[in-house]
Amino acid sequence: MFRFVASVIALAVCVSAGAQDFPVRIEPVTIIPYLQGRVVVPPSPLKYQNIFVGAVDTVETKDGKAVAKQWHDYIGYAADPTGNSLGYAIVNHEMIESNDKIGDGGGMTMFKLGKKADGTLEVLNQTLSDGRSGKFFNVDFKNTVGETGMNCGGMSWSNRVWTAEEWYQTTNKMINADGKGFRDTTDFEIGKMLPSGFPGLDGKKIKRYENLNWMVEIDPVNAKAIRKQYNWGRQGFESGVTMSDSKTVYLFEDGEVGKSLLTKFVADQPGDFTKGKLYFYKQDAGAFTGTWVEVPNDPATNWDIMVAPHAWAKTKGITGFTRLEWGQINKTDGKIYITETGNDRPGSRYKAALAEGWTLPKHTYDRATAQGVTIDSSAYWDYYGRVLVFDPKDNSVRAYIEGGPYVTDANATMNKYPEKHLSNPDGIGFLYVNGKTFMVIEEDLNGVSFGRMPNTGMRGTNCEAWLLDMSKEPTIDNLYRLAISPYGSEITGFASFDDGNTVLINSQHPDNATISDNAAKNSLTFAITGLKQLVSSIDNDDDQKDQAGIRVFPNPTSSQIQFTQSTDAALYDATGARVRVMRESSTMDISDLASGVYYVRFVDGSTRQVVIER
Amino acid sequence: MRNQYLFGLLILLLVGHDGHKASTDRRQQLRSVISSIARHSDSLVTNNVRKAVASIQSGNTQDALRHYEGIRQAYKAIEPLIEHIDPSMVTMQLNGAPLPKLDAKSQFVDVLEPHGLQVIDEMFGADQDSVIANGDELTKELLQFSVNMHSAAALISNTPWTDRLVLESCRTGIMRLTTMGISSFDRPATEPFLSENLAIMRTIRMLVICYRDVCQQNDLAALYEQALTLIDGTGPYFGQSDGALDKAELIRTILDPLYGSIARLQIGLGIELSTEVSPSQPVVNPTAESMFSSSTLMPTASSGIHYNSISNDLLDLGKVLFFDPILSDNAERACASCHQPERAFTDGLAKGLAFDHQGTILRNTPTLINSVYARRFFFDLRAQRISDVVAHVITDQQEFHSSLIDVVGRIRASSEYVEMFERVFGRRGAESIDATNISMAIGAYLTTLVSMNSRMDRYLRGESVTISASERRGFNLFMGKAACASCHFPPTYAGYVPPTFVESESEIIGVPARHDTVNALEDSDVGRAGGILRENSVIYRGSFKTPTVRNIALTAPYFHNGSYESLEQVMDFYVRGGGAGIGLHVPYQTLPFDRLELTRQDQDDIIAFMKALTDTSLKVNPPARLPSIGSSKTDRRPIGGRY
Repeated sequence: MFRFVASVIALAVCVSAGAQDFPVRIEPVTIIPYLQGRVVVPPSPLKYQNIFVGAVDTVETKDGKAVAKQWHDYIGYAADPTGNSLGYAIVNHEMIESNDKIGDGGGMTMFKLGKKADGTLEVLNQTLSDGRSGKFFNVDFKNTVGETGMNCGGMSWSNRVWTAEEWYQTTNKMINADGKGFRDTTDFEIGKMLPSGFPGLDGKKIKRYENLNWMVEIDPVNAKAIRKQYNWGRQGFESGVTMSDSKTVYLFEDGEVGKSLLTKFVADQPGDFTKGKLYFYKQDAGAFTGTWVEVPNDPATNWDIMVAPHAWAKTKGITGFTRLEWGQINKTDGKIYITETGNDRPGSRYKAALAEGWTLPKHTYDRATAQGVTIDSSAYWDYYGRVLVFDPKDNSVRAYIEGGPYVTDANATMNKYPEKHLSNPDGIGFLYVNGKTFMVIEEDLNGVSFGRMPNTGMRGTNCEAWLLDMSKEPTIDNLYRLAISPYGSEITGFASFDDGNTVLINSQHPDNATISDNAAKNSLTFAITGLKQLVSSIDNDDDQKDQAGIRVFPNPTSSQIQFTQSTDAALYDATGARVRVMRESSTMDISDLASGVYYVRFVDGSTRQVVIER
Repeated sequence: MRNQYLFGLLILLLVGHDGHKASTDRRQQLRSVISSIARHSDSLVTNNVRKAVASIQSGNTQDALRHYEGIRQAYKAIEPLIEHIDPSMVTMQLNGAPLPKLDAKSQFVDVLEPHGLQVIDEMFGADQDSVIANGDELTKELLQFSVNMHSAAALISNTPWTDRLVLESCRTGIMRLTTMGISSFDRPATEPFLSENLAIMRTIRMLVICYRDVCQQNDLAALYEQALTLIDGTGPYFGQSDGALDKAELIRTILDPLYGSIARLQIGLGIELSTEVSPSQPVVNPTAESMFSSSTLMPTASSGIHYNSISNDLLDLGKVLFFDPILSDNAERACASCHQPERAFTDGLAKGLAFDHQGTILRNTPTLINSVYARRFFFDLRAQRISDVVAHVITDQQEFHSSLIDVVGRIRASSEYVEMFERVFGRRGAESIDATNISMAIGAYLTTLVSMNSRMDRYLRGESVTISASERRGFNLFMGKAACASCHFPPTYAGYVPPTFVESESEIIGVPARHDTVNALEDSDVGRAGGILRENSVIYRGSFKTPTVRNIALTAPYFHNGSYESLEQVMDFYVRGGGAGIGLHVPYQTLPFDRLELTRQDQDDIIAFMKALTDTSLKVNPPARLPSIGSSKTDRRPIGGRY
C-alpha cells in the first residue's frame, strides 16, 4: 500500500443504522437484471478510437525519429489523390519548444488514414518523396520556410493546408525563452532555403520573430512547408476559409481585444495565392453591413505594412473584433460562421482601441446597450463570447448564437446551474447528414468564474463539444452535447473524411492521468465513428425525459452515469465498497473507475446495476 | 439465489430509510444556519462600510479604523465557508495578497489588480495623513468590498450544502486560520487583533452543534464533546495580543487536535469524503489527522497520476530510473547526480554542475523532498507538471544533453526494463516504454519523497517531544513580527498557498548576483518573466519560486543563484529590506522595502526554529543494481551517475 496513508484515520467500515443515507459498505448482492425495472438504453452508437498520441507516438524527421510533440490543436486534411485511402491528416502543435530533430517552435504532424473492414481507422505506413518512411511525419519547416511557433488553427481547402500561429510574437527574447524556445535568434533571410514565391523579396533579412505569425501553406502529401503568405499580413491568425471561386480567402485573427482583424484576400488567378488584393473589414457605422478596405500588400514594396498591419489598420478606422477564433463555411447557406471568444471586462481595451482609431462592431455596441452601459465602461462584461455569422452577399457580421446563459458566481451552484451552458466557443465545423446541417461548436474555457463552470467545491474544468441543428432556432436550449473532454483539457480540432460519419477531434493537455489510458494522460487526436446514426437519433432524445421514475443511462457506460432527474446517489463496487457519492445532481463522473459491475444506490435504498465498460 | 437477493434488498431498504430522514433534516438545518450567518455578515459589512466611509469623509481615521475592524469580524464569520467553496473569489475579490497577478488566459500580458481586505489594510496601515489623502481610493475599495461581500454571501446562501461540504469547510477554516490567520499574512500593515478569529470559531461551533443528536445516536458523543471543548478553548488565546500569543502552543493544544477531531467525526458518521465525489484529485487529504504530518496533503495531485494508479511496481520502476544515468547522453549523469539523497536531494553547490563538466547550469539545485506539493516547477515556474520537468532535464543541453527519442531507444534496448515497464503499463513489449511513461514513473517516485516529521512537526501535532525556548520564540517570530510566514506558508513553509494548495507563488526579493551588501550587484537572471511566454511581465521580472524552509540547515547555499552561504547571511539580507534595502533598483519588490526590526537575538531564534525543521526520517535506499542494457560498457554505469 502507498506509504502516505500510514497516519491517516482508519476508515470506519461499519456504522450503525441511523447515521447515514449511504453506508460506507453494503452487503454486495447479485442483482438480476430483469428484477431492476431499469430501462436499458442501447450503448451509444458512437465508436471511439485513439489515433495520434503526443509524447507516445514517434515522428519521422529528416534527422531520424523523434518523440511527437504535444498540445494538439487544428487538424488539417487532404484527400488521397490516388483514392486508395481516406486521406491525410495534419495536426498542429500549439507550443514552443526547442527540438533538434523536429525543429524549434511548434510544428505539425502528418499521417495517412485508411479504413479497415470493420469501419475503424488505421494509420497507414508510407514512404515520402524525401525518403522518410513510417507512420507519422513532422512537417518540415526548418529546412524550408523557417520554423513556426504555437501552431493553433489553420485552413484546409481543395487538398491544400495552411497553418496559423495565434500567439503574437513581438521580440526575439520572447521567442527564445531562455534557450528553451527558438535557440537561433539571428536574422532570417527570406528565400535562402526555399524561394518565397514573391518577386523581389528573396534575400531580405528580417528579425527572427518577424518570421512568425504568417499563414503558412504546407504540402500535406510530402509533409513539408511551401510558403509563408507574406502578402496576407502578419497577424495572430486563428483560421481561414477559401471560397468555391478558388480566389477568395477570408481570414480570422485571434489578436488583441478590440483590434482583431477580419481579412479578405482575392487572388488574381484561381488557386494562385501569391498574387492578389488584400482587404480589411470595416463595418458601416450603426449597421451590420460593411465594406472592404484595400491594403497595399506587395511584400517587397509594402513590407512595413505587411509586417505590422495593425499599425496601418488603425489609421483607416478598420473594425477591431474582440478575439476571433475559428471560422467555417456552411455549404448549405453559403454563410461563414466565426467563433468570437469572450473577455471578462473588455471596456478598457475597447476604449484604447477607439482612441487609436479602430471602430468596433455593432453587435458589441448592441450588447452594451442591452446591459445599460457604454462600450468602454468597466462594467461591460463579455464572459462567454459567441458565434458570429458573416454573409458574403452583403458583407454583414452579426451575432448568431450568444454564449451563456448568464450565471452569476453566486448562482453557479450545482442545483441552479443550467443543464446546458456555452462558454468561450473556439473550434467550429459542420456536418451534413441525411439532408440536414449541423454545426459543431467546441469550447476552450477562459476560466471557471462567472458561471463558466458550476461551483462544486472541487476544482477543474471540462470543455464540451456541442451540436446545433441548423434548421432549429440558434438557442442554447437547442444545443446537443456531443462530447466532454477530460479534466483540464481543451477540446479542439475537427476534421471529417467521409461526409461526417467519422470525425477526428483533439483533446489538448488533459490534467488527470491514469496509468493505462493514453487518452487521459497526453494530448491526442481521436476518432469518433457513427456520427450519422447519433445525429439521426437526436430528435428523439427530448421525448425520453418525461417518463416517470429515475432512469439511469447509458448502461453500459464508459465516462459518466446520467440520471433523468437531479437526485442523491452513491455508487458501490462489486465488493460492496462505496466508491462515489453524488448529491443533488443528474450526472456522476466515473471516468476514473475500472471496468466492472457496480450498483447505484438511491436515498430510498433502492439500487440499480450499472456496468462500466471501456 | 433469488431469496438471497430479496433478503439483501430488504435490509438495504430498512437501513437506508432511517438514515435518509435524519440526514435530510440535518441538511435543511445546516442550510438555514449557514444562510443566516451569511445574511448577518453581509448586513454587518454593509453597515460598517457605510460608517467607515462617512468617518473617512469627515477625517476621523480612528473611527474609520474601528469600523474596519467590524468589517473584518463580519468577514471572518464566513471565511471558512467561502474559502472552501470559492477560493478564487477570495484571492481576487475578498482577501487575496495585495500583489498584482496576470490574467492566465490572455496571450497579452494583462495585469489584474488585487482587491479586498489586504489592499484596504495597506491603505489603513499608512500614517494618518495619507489615510485621509488617499480617502477616495480607500472609499472606492471599501464600497467594492461591500459589493463583493454581497455576492459571496449570496453564493454561500445558494450553495446546496451537504454534510461533507460543511465538515470539510470547517477543516479548511481551521487550516486557513492556522497557516494564515494567525500569521502576518492577513495584516500586511495594521496591528493584528486576534479576537477577530473568534468569529471563525463561532461559525464552526454553530455548524458542529448540528451534529449533536447524530453523534449521540452513534456512540460518538465523546468525540463531539471534545470538538466543542477545543472550539471553546480558543477564547483565552484570542484574548491576548499578537506579541504575547504563543502560537506553537495554540496549534499544539487546540487547532491541530480540532482539525483531527472534525475528520474523525466525518469518518465516524460515514459521511462521504472529497476523494469520493469526483475523479478529480483533492490536494488536501480529507482523512489527515494533523495539519503537520506527511499525510496532510495528497502528493499525487500535481504528479498527474491518480492515487488509485500508484503501485509498488510503478514506484520501484521510478526509483530505478531516478538513479539510472542511462537517461543522460553520456550515461554518466542521473537525477541523483544533483539531487543527492544524503544532502536532502540537493548538491551543496551554488549552481548545479553542467553536462560534461562545462561550467554550471543557470541556478541552484532545489531539494526534492515535498517538491510534489508544488503546482508549478523550477525557480522560474516554467513547468506545470512533473512530466514537463523530466522532459526538460533530459533535453536540456547543460543537463542530460539528450532527446526523448534517444532515451526511449536506450531504455527499450534493455529486456529487463521492458519487463519492468510491461508490469506497470501493460504487455505491449518495447512499446510500453515511451516518454510519457518514463516521466510518469519518475513522477510517481517523487510522490514518495514526502516527509513532515521534523521535531517541530511532531511538537505541533502533539507528540511528546520538546522544543527549546529559542525555537519557540523563533516560530512565533516567523509567524508574526518577522513576516516570514507571509510567503513561506506552513505546513510546507514554501510558497504553496493554503488552505487549498492549488497555487505556487513566486516573489521578487532582489537577491544580488553575489553576496556583497556594500557593492550590491544586480542579478541578470529575469526569473519568472523568462519562464513561460505569457508571464513575460515586469511584475515577474526577478521573481523566483518561493522555496521551502524545511531542511534548510542541510541545503546551503541559498537563493536561486546560491549566492548566500549561511542562514545568518540570509537573515541579514531580509533584515536590511532585501535587494531594495541594499541599494539595488527593484521597483516591483514584493518584500517590504523597510528594514525589519529584529534584534540579534530575534534572528538567532528564527534560525534555531528553522533548524528544528530538519527532518532526516525519510530513508532512501538506492536500488541495489541497475537493469542490464546488454553492452558491457553501459552495464558498468554507476548507480546514481558518475558526477
